[in-house]
Amino acid sequence: MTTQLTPPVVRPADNWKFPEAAEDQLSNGIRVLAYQCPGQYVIAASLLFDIPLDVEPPDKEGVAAMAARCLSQGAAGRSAEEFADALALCGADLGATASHDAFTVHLSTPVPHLDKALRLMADVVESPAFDQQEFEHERQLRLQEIEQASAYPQHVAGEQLNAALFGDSRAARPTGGSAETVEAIERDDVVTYARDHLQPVTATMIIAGDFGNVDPIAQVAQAFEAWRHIGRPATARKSVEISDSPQVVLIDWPDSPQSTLRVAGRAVTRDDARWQALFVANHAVGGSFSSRINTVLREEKGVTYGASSALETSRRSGVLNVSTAVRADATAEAVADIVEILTAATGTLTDDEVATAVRAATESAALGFERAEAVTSRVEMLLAQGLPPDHVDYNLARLREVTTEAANTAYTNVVEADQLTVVVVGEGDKLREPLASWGYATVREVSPKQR
Amino acid sequence: MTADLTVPIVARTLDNGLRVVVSPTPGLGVVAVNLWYDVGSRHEQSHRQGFAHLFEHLMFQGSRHVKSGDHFALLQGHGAALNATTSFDRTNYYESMPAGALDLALWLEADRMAYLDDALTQENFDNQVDVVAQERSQRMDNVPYGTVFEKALPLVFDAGHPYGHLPIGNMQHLAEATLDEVSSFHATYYMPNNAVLSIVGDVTEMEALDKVERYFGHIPAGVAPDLALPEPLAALAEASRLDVAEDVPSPAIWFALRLPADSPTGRELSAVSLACSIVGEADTSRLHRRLVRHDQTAMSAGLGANALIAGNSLGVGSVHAVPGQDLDEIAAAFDEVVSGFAADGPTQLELDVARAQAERDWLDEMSTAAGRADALSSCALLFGDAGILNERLAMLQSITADEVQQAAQLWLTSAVNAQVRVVPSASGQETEGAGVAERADAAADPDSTGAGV
Repeated sequence: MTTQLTPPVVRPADNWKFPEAAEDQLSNGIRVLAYQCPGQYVIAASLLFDIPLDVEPPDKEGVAAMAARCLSQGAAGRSAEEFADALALCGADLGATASHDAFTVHLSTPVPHLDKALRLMADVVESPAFDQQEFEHERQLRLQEIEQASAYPQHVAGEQLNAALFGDSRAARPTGGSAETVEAIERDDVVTYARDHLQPVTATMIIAGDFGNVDPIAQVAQAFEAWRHIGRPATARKSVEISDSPQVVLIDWPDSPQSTLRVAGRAVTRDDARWQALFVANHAVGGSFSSRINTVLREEKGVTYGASSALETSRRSGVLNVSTAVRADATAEAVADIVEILTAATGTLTDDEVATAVRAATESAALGFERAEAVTSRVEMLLAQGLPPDHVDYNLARLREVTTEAANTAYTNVVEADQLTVVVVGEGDKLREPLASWGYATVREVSPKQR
Repeated sequence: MTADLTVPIVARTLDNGLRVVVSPTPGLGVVAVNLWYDVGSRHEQSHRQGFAHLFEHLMFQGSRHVKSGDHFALLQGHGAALNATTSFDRTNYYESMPAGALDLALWLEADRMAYLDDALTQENFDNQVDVVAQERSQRMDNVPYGTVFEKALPLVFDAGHPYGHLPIGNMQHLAEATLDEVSSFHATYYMPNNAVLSIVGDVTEMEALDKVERYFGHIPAGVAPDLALPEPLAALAEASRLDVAEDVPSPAIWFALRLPADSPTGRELSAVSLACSIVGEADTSRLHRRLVRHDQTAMSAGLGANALIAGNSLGVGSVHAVPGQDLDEIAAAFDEVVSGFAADGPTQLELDVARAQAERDWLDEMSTAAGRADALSSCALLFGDAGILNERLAMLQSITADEVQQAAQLWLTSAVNAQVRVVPSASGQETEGAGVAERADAAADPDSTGAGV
């Protein structure tokens, strides 16, 4: 037996396909998409309401997030504790989230308890208790959470990036509201939000797992069919502004051994014709361990544990966002490096980089959707962003067609490296001067609210 | 449960001592490779805390036939997800990928098992020392409460104990380490007869075993390190407390507990884990209901068990207080909850909830090829028998209320004995309490005690 000197040949992955949906519509308007995923005995279910954050009253931002928190604190005659026990006896988790594009109730449960768990899920949308005391407690916890989060540099960097990047749009402000707006929310506001916006006609149930002999659509129908409720008609979505002037924002973080960085700019939404080519380009520039950005900052300079870029989207916005945390004394050099790499990538993506990125993005599909929850999360994200549920296969087919030329063209058209927003959370006294000397833009200092 | 949840297992040992576990899942399209080496932070020399984890980083810097960085580049370029983690007991290297890339993964793993030395350079070594220092900053030093748990460990395990320090270790020790020590660490611990290799997913038993023989069969066996496990320690009898003032938004308490070691039957630790789950996991737990819901003195409260094998396991509790609340009262309430549980035992409802949660956790763990491979490696390396995996759920479900209560009496009633209390410092400056040697580490989540690439 001898050692092989070169890497073994890799057999190309089969043309993997996203599981096919069984689709139906209940008599109350709920659309049901069910995905059979063999071997997945923890069922994942998402009930998605097509309702944007734009519907929140401006002085009560965070009401959707508060409704999400309170939804499972008692329902259908069960107190909060009784409800938590009933769920836990199923081995189930239930929660809700409010994003810019949608309000979603999530359930996961072992398949033997599916009927009971779906009933509990129906209870929270049909007859949530919204008990006054529970509401008060959840609001207190939410306010404490806001205060806690302001002590975490990663969180502060994200919030300040949104504030700088999205102008006056809702996306500039925290999804869950600020301390000021949360203080103003009353129980009745939560009740009104749920009554007006959580209704079957705007809902889609996405459910995935190994159902065995169980008919998932029949189970969903049994739990949800009787729900009759008409709220307010859907509201038009507001557009999202994204900054196109260079900005450098500094948040002073005394004695910080590391600076937390974000470098971001306008990209495209997922329905844009350039999406796949841009996705491939991003993989090479910052979207993988071997990307240009991570190679320089981590593997060559050793100033970070990791640096990566991601294309972040909502229905109305697309952003390229580089995030990392670097050794404090290397901060200015690192941000300059990132901007330099983003600039130099224009027109220089190689055949090898593009071929690798295409393979990585397409051949990872079977792995990426191994779990039932990965399937429901993806469909949920697609619907929230106004795309059809079968978009995964379409996207994979388009990714396979991306050429070096297309990747270079998309990157050059989309990424404006001289119009980026840079956010630095780090020690002000040591960073003001080097960031100013870098000269990318005037350094604007923002004081962290609660430090 | 209608479905058959038994994980198919084929176990073989190569002539060079490499233990191989194969679990085919036909038609999955995906295959997971998972290597556990029998070396973790507990094997480190006392002046090289963190070395096992630094070494793990160097395993990605190339080997005789693999260029630096190519391990990630080649596998990710074929759609793989990969990483490595270092914990107290072991170091774990893993990759999941399309089935057609299995040969590539095995070849890469074999090359760095056999020939890491050839590619070691001072430059790569220095670079990864820097990267690990930044990893520590990002996970611990630049995070509120990030170093509290590290400060709690020495209260339950003294400096000479294998679990007296965290895997992330001491950056000064790493700065003083040399390239030669990397070679010698590899020679001491990285050999086929000190590792388990699991392959799970879309591959037949025959194919998998053939490939393992082809890529690993030629690697010579080494002299496996023979490290006796320390004697078990009883739960901490005396109170031991450290108070620190740091730049944190609100007061908090961390508790560290000695728990029984994991074992092939796992019964005693499982009874403790169920007790922890009832007392301190999720919003149905007694701690949550008392401190967060009833007293409303805490934002969160929890207790969990981290399974280990060298004499003891490690329990971790934590409470994040509502600003302005009294930590003495909170600690007293914590003690009351734990002691009350030990006195009364679980209700039937609590036991049913804990069992349902344990079953669900098990199903989650088994839901991916990577999860199954990791669990198989764990059973094979720590207990010498991958087949134990298929007995664990039934064992857990058979644990009685009496066993849970006894476990709580033996191990949890001393929960508040080892405490680190952290309060916001007036100036925002960190001040160290007495008896703390170094700046320290991880969060209260027992799973976060490891460190990754």
